Amino acid sequence: MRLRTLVLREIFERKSQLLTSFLAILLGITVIVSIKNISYYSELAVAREMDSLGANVLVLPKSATLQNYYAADMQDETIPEEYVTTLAMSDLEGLDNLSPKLSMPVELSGKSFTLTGILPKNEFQAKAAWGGAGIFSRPVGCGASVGMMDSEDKKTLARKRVIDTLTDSEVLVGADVAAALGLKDADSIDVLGKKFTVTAVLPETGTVDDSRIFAHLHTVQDMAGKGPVINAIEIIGCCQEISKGLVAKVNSLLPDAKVVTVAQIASAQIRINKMMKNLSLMFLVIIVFVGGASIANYFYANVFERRREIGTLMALGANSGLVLRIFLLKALILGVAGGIGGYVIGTILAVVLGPKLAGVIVLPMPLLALPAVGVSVTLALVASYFPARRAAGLDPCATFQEV
Amino acid sequence: MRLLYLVIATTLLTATTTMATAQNGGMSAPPAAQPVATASAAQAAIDRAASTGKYTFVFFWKEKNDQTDKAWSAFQPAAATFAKSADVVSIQITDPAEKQIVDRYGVSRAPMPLVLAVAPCGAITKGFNKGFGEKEIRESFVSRCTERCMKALQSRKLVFICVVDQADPQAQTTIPQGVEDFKADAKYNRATEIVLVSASDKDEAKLLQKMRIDPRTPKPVAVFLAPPGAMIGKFDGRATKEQIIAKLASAQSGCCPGGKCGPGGCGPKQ
Repeated sequence: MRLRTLVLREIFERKSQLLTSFLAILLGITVIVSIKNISYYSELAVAREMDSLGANVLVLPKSATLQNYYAADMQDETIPEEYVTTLAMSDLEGLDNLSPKLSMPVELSGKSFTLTGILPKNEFQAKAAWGGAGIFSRPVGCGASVGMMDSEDKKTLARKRVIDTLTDSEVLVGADVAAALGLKDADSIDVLGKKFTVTAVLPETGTVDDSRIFAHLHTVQDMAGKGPVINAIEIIGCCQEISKGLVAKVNSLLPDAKVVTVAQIASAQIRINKMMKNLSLMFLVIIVFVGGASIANYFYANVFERRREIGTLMALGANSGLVLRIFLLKALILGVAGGIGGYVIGTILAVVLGPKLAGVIVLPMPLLALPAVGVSVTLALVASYFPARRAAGLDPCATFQEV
Repeated sequence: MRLLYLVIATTLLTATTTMATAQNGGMSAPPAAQPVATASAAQAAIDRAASTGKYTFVFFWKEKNDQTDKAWSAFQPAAATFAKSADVVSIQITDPAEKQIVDRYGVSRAPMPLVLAVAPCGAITKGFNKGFGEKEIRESFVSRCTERCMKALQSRKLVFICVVDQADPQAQTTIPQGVEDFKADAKYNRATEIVLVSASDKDEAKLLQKMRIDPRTPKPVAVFLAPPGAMIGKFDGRATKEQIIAKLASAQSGCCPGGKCGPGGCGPKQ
């Protein structure tokens, strides 16, 4: 009888105990893989947001959560659009680049997208002068935004977050929308029964903006039937003004809204990611103790119950090395199966639950497969080594006497 | 409150049923509950005030409530003390007759009530939705040059404020050559306005102070402004057109010209 046959027969000898040990490894690896996978893409999303937004301030409804912001700011709560004028006519410096937004879900050709209303700058920029002649005393450069000389490249919306002009019948579409619907510049698109012209297809950003269709805010308000309200105002502020307490000043100007910086949001998300990392470390410790103890217990029991067979095998000429190899090979198979199974299930869980739990799109990470199998195999081998060594050290005569 | 309604009703009757009846030198009707569908009487009142070199304070309101009553009762007596320099017009933003003026000023979604101070040249020199007192009204009056600058900026034009010893457009050295060349460029001509300010004009002292220009500085000095009123740069008589264009390009390239952009910086990565 060959070693492989011996090991396979040994594996299926005590199925229920084997299943318990296998499940202990499988579940542990599953949880670690899914947490690692989700936290990786969550960190990536935060990095992308920070990269694309820079030092921004967000004005949100009081009840809006972090998840609302990451889920294309589609919270039910809204704030009045008049906040935009209040901000524009305030004497606060660093508030020239405002981007109010109202989002609603739309379905086009059976696919779900986000219709986002934005207000072009020409409709509120002049209101900044309503603050009076004090506007002339602003420092050189701060808040300056000159875009009226050349015809504007509307594709810059993807990175600048503000646009100079946008008519009621124009839309700008994200890269994913354009790819899914086969749209290009100057095409026509029907959204909720209203015809629009695609003014520009925005370059890919890797953010939720890729699945957005940007239209004029007032058009979207009419389509949503919500009246003059918005979901959020993005303020592309000057960092020096933010550091001088711009957030607190905006907060006192709009006491009924929540004013946060993107850095604050990112730091909250980073805290969540850190917590997830700690959680995965905790699971690693648990799997080492619980999984390891379960495997060790299973192997000890196995060795004890099968000492007659082990003795017989040794009496027939098998040496200690062969017995050791039988048990270790069995542990190796258990570890490999647990690692692969845990990686597959953990990845599926991450892909399915990631968007719901962290609000980010999660893709499989093949890089996690090796560590998952490595941890599982190491654990199985270490936990089974001592019982296997004990089996290898059995005296055939003594085992026959005992039985 | 009843007394206030009585006053409103009486004023309405005597104001020949129009919402905006600012007569030369007089005050307009206060907010009324019923909109009056006439041709834009408010616009006519603004035009009349402008033709006599007066400001117009346009009181925009949406609905009759405590907030509107309180604002009006604070604003009307305060505005009355400036009757020689300004007229008052009241507009209910839901009044179909005033839709054009409401759309022009873009106040349909503004916080109400709101007062806009309109200079004779058409520039909005101040807007306020709180206070409604003498302080806010006094701050609305600005110098002629400031009015011109604001008008140009509100028309989305670039403005050069050229500070000279004597504002004489005929003088050869009044405007820096670089500014002249910039204005002469076909690309910028229609979107550029030059405003001359005399350093010795006391009325303009406040404007110079705001722009941090010492009247004793060697002239000419040109201050380059972009909408809504941000200062792009200051130039002396030696500035060239290329230097001005470079400064403009720098301002166009980001929200924080000269500052650090990108993550942790002043705005989006350019």
